[in-house]
Amino acid sequence: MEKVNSVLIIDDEPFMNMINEKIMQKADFAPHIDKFEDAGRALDDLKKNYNERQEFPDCIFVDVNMPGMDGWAFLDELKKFPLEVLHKCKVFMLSASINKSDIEKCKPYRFVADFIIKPLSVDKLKAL
Amino acid sequence: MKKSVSDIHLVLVVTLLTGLLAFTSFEATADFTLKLGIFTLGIGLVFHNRFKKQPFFMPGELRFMPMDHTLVYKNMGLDFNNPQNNEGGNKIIVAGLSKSDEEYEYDPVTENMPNVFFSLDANMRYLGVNRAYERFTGLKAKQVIGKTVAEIVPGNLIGFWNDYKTTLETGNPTKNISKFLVDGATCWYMINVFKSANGISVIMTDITDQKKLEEEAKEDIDRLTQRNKDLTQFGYVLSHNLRSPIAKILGLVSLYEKDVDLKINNVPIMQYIAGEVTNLDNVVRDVNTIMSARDSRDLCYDYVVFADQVKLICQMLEDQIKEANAEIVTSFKPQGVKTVKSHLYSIMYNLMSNAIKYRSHERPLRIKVQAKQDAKYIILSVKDNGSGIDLKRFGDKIFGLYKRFHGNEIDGKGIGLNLVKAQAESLGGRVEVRSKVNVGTVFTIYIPKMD
Repeated sequence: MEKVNSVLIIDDEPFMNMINEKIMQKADFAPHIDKFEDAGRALDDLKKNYNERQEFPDCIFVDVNMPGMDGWAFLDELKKFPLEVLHKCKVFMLSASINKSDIEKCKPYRFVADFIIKPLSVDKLKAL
Repeated sequence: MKKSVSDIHLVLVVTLLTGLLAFTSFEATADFTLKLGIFTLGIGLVFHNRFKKQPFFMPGELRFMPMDHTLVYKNMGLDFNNPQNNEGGNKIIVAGLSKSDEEYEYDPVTENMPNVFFSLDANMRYLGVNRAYERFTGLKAKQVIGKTVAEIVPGNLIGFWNDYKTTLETGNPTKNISKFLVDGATCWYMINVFKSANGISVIMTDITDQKKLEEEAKEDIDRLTQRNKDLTQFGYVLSHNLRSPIAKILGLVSLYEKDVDLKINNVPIMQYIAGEVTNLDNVVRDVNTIMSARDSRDLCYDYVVFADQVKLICQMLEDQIKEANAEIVTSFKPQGVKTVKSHLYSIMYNLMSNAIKYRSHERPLRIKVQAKQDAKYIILSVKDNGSGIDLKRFGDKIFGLYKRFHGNEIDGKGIGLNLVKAQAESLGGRVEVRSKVNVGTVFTIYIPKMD
């Protein structure tokens, strides 16, 4: 994958976010990493940055299973951004799930680049 | 025994008058051989033909009626606007008595077999009926023979007509299964129609027991299918929830290996790993709790007083109740129930603690715990005025294992309602929920009564 500048990670468990951040740092994946534990708040932040400064992360890693707004609901909201914005952003679903049905569920979302089975690892990041 | 036409009319007039006066005057006419069914039919027909009145309610009963085809025979009143029932008019009574019993002798096998048997001529007039027919309809052979099916069987006969006509015209036997109301009970009969020399023969076999077994088997299958679905879902959920801590441990281990350039040392990583192993252990413990809640073997039943349970729960939840400043109202009629104490406690605890957790911050919390009963169930309900759940959106998912509908601001594992459902079902009962967002929620548990 091309050099990534900014990444957004969303996982309801702060601890998982922390692990993911460390792994990304270790893989030298991106210099800017934003973390959110609530998909709704992450979305507000995305909107704010886009409206105020036309900024949008290069990559979003979002957990599938979250209370409140889950990964799929987040994708549905993300769809409302302009296409050219989504084109430039790669969205990765993160899940501990190894169910095929969950992986299949990604297909209708064309801006989803991949479904990553947790844990994230340096090797997996490099292979993206 | 023979009676003249004028005798019959006299009977009818007497019956009509006494019937109008008292509605039940059958003793007065008990000497006559005419039976109740024919009486009421006669009264209706005479009344209708003589006075050209609208259909009216008849104070009487017919012993049986076909349910699958009854559109007009509701409220025990015959529809005399139906030309099928009008045909023949008051001739009915006369025709049934105009021939002697001897003319309808049957061979002993047909006469005594348990199946209802009757034969019809090409004009759908009864040629003969057996004893089982008499028992089934409550009508004597001589009341029936010579009359048409439409005159004897109340209601809409389209379903039967088609079969009779098909067999009559083609000579091929027909078969159908129909529902009847016999003495107030639903019965199922298989009706076989055969071509005979003068018309058709009809054999009706009582398959009610078979039908009941079938229905029971279907209920069992539905229940097992649902249980199987739940178990599959349980398996998926379990796999996910076991996988979550494992994923974290794997992630942590990968950090542990190459920790050198990062400003995190190995000690906290080890602590995190230990924490995740505890989570893993918790999941396995949850599984055990749920499996034993679902297991209905070896359950110990005791008489449990509702108020005692509420008291215990209030002690357990003392801090939360204080914090929420909750008002708890109870009303128990009956006072208690014979059930599995631990299940009931857990159900009530989970529902009450949920009511506190998901309270509305716009109004003081009020929880109403109530027990009522009907013929079959003790009905326990926990009602709150809390934040409510959008059931249209979430539906039955609220009972799903590890399902959570609120963000992290409210603590919870997503196991409570699943447990409530499992325990209610293991008691042979069920749980229902009604809710309105921002108004409140009522959970209702149906506990079957025990002898």
